[in-house]
Amino acid sequence: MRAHQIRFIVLLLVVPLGAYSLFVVYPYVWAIGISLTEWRGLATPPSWIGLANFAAILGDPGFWNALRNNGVYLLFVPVVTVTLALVLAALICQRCTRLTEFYRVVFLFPQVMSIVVVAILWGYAFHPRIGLLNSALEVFGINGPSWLGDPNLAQASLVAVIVWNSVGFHTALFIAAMRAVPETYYEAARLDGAGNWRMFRDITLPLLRDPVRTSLMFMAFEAFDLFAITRIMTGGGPNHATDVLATYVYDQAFSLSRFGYASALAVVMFALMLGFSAVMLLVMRENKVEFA
Amino acid sequence: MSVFTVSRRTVLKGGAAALGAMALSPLAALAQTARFPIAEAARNPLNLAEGTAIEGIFFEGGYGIDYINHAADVMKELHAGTQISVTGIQGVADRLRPRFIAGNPPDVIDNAGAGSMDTSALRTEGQMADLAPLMAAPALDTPDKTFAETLFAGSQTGGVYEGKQVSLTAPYTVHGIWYDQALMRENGWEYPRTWSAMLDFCETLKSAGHTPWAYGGRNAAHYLVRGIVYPLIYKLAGRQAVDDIMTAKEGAWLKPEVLEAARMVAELGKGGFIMDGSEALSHTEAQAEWLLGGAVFYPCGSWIENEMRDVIPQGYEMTMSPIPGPTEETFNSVLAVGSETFFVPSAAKNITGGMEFLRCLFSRSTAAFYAETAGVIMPVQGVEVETLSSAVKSAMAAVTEAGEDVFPLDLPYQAVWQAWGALSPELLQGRLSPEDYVAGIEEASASARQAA
Repeated sequence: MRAHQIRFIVLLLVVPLGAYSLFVVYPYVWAIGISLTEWRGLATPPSWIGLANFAAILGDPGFWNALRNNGVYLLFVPVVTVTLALVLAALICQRCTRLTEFYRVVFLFPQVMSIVVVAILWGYAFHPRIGLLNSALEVFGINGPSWLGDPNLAQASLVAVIVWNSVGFHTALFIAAMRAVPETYYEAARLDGAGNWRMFRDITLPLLRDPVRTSLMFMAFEAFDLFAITRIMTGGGPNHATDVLATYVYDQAFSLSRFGYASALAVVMFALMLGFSAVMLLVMRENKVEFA
Repeated sequence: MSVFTVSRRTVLKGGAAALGAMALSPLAALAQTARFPIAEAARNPLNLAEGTAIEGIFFEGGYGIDYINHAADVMKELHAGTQISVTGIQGVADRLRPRFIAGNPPDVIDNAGAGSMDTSALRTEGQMADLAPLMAAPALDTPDKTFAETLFAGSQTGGVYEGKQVSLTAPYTVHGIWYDQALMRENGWEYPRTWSAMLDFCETLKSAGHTPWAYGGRNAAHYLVRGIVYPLIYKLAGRQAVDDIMTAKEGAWLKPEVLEAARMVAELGKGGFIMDGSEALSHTEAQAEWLLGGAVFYPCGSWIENEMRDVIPQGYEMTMSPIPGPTEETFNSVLAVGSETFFVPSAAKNITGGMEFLRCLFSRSTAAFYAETAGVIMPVQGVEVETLSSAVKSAMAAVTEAGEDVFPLDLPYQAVWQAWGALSPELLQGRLSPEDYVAGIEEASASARQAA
């Protein structure tokens, strides 16, 4: 590479890397520092307490509760979303017509909407007295439950909203992938007497392996966050039934003024994410070998 | 010229807050601003330098912001050269924390509402300035009295930390059970005066097609504690028990009387007396439903009239009574306390300016303005009011009838408030036993004690 090319590249990278260091790397490092202190987030400087915060996390039922809720999301959200998206995409692609394009656009709507708007709208849908859901149930004489007020229903209600919000995007991805499958494969299969289900299972699905895996990963990372939707729709309630790590960290810091402890929680969350990403990368690599 | 006229006025007096008529003493010999007469000694006792800037940031909630603006106007007239800026905000902690960290807080703050700063953290860090000079200064518009002497007796003890007055609370708020007196009259009903009578009355209401109780569990479930559980604890176990709760003393929630109070409250849920869906409503949603007839009773503080002013139906006679206790004798005792915390940060640039603003805010002029425009009571003695709504009248009558039996709630620990909000709906829904309920709050109380 010539000198002026390198200069050009460096010049291009300075601004984004500088911004990244200032707004991402620096706060991370700073948070790790604060996690070793006790700090009320006021003017008195943080005081060093070593690893005491991390020891406290291990015995904090609030942390384990939030982690378990993240785990529940991790278990359900990716699988449900991707399965549903596959079914929808397959149904739409049964016959690729001009309507397919229309559906692709319609399915993208929820993804385009701000998550804040989605959360508020669904909050109304779940409203126990004037909500869409309970009004509909009332028609059948059913006294609807208090979706977001019942600890046994709140998280399931949120899963429904998250799936609704993301399923369209993945459907659109899968439609695109399905249309890329050469029609000749299906023709050949049909000549051999294969039915729709058989073709889906043995042709479409194997050829969609890559986009499906990408979608699963994408949703798995999403399951680790979910701050906005939780904060707006339930605030982590009722009685912490929908707390996730992100809202728990926020609560410890900004409601209870425990910034040192909250930073330690954030560091743990960071480590968990890092570990999870490493596992995911490994899984990907194994598969690549298989293809090679 | 005085803005006060003397006839047909009600005078609000402190402490026991007796309602009675008292004529305003003549103030002819005094100098005056455009608004009210003012003694020379009361003009600038804190020696505020002219030309300084004062910045105030205030929680703007159910009580509005008009009274803050009024106090600012009073102060502008008093100190023509100073620049005063006042701002109303919500989410006080999020907005002001960066300024505390930067060592640049405003000169006076109203810390209240959802997302307020942890008062105990502010206190233990010494972030609140000692208000001693203000307390000893001559009051703005009550002649021959110090500022401290004009406040309702005993109304500011919650703001004393390590022997220093570091914050003031206002508006004076009476907490109890709110209902429509017109509905009661039309049906020939009487507000029940014992707990068992209350449960019987809830049955009566149910058979008449009414839902007895509503609350907003999504963000205001702590109203259940402040309106019902906590007063019941006072009625069952007396002052020491509630003092222990306020100081997060070990075992405060493990006393048998406290468990009994939790059991009593759980009976409301067991009897099916709670409006469906209450646990998922915000306080304003629940209050709107309650006003439109969705429920008969709502536990709340006396800001509710001002907060819901636009929604109150024609003919609704908003009235407050204390929660009935185990016996007739315990009926009258009532929770009354300043509901928002005003303080001057010790790191403020203009501490004197902040205190001077508080002197204008806790003045008869501002108090009279506030009572007349919004029916809200500042804890300032000798304020004259032309008319009082049924809501304010009933709240003040409750305080009068309680006499010495008025008790406060000054709990500076967010962790405990949070536990109240999280656990109370579970108790009412029957998903949490009274035993687990008090144990859960004791736990939150312990963690608050350790953090302080």
